[in-house]
Amino acid sequence: MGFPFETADWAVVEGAMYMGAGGGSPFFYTLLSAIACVAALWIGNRKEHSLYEHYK
Amino acid sequence: MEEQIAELMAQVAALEMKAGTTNTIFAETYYYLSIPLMILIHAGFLAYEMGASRMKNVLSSGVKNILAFAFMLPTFWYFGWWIYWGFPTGLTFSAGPVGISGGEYASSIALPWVEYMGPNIADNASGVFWGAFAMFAATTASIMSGALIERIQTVGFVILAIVLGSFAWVVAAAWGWHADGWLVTQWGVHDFGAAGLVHAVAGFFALGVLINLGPRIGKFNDDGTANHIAGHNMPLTCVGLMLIIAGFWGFLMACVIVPGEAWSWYPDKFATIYGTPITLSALGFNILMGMAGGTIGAWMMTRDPFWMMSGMLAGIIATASGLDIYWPGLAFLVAFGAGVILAPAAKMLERRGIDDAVGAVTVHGTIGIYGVVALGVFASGFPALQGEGAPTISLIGQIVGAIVFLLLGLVPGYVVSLILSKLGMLRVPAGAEEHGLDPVKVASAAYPEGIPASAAPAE
Repeated sequence: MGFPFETADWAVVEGAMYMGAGGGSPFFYTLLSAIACVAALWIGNRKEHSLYEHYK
Repeated sequence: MEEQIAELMAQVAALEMKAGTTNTIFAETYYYLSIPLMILIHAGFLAYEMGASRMKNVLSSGVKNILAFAFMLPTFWYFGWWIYWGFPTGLTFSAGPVGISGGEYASSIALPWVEYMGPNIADNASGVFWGAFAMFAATTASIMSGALIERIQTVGFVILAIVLGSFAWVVAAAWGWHADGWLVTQWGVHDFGAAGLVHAVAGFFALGVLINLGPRIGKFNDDGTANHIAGHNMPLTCVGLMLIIAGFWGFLMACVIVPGEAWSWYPDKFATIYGTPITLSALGFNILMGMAGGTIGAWMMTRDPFWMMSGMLAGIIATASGLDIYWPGLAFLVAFGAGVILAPAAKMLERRGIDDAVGAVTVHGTIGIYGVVALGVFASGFPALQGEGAPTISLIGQIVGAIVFLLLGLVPGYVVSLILSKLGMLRVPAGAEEHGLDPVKVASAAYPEGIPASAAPAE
């Protein structure tokens, strides 16, 4: 449900209270955060290997 | 008269509501507080393995430990929690007898975009349960981390940590630490404090990785004899071990199901995750006696503070499966046995060419298996699960559980590290290892001004 902007009153909220509840954005943000994790590992691995170049 | 009865009923209803609210707040707070306590485990592992590293590798060891913790949380949120609820009956994803498992159930409560996996005013349980389990997951990664110090690549290690913490141990937990788990319902496996499904899985996962990773340069001589590679700071290592032990009180506290909620086993008493009764007093008795037994056993064999502190941890692990039902004197004896076999078991591993820098395979793997099997020796016939006709604990069942836990660690650890090795992502180049990993890849220095030696006493 998220925040009920029509009534602007938290008292009527009885369940999910996060942004985008009931819509597609939670899935979208989950996907983006997973992509961020994979990208961080990819970039981190490339950087790490570049640092090893001088020691091979 | 009728008015008075109505007023009384209203007062009873109000009191019931207040009692219910208090119980819900207690339950949520109980698990919430277990989370920072378990973070102490990670503070401990951080200190432990940085102390066990040489000065040239201190921060590199710390970085990979911190990163494993950080990556464990989102990956456990993405799929680890789903695996715990989806896998209990095996690989069929069907619902078990209690009805809180299977693919459909897991998808309804544990996919990261469902309403229970975020702030929800009607749900005071999911977030704190998930948080506690995420800490268990991060613990497995930290257990593995120390064994691999001073020669593993950072990103390769993080990938291994994700496989262990968000997959391998979670499958073990689904099978052996869930009321619908097939190891529990079919074999009567009982592992209250996760000696097998956390410690043994993590310890043997580390062994699988160590086989492919190989020893540190200089660890073994040409004739196969081993050299001791001392860490740079034994006091830091010992303090780290004590922090781990403090954190395990939170870990074991979180293994208890509190009463009085819709998801509780009982309205009026604590239960294990299997629904069998337990008290926090049982933990008070047996954890402390286990700590003492392990320490004294290790002291008797080694007189070495490293092994004494490891013995204290091993004492908890050895008794963890049955902390709910051991008699404290027996818990002491089981833990004492763990302390006695600890250092010889580590030596045996070393003689086979395995360089486990902190003894993690022995302390967590070997002693975890010892603890699971020991419960089968002493507790045969006790109910493994709550309910009429529930399976009972048996030696055969515990041995089956121990073998499954061992394989759930060893096989993925070996296979994934082999793949990483083939991809060139497992071991650092020899030149970098000899130079030291901190100057090669860490942006800051552990001791930029060095560590001054003690001044000689005045003549």
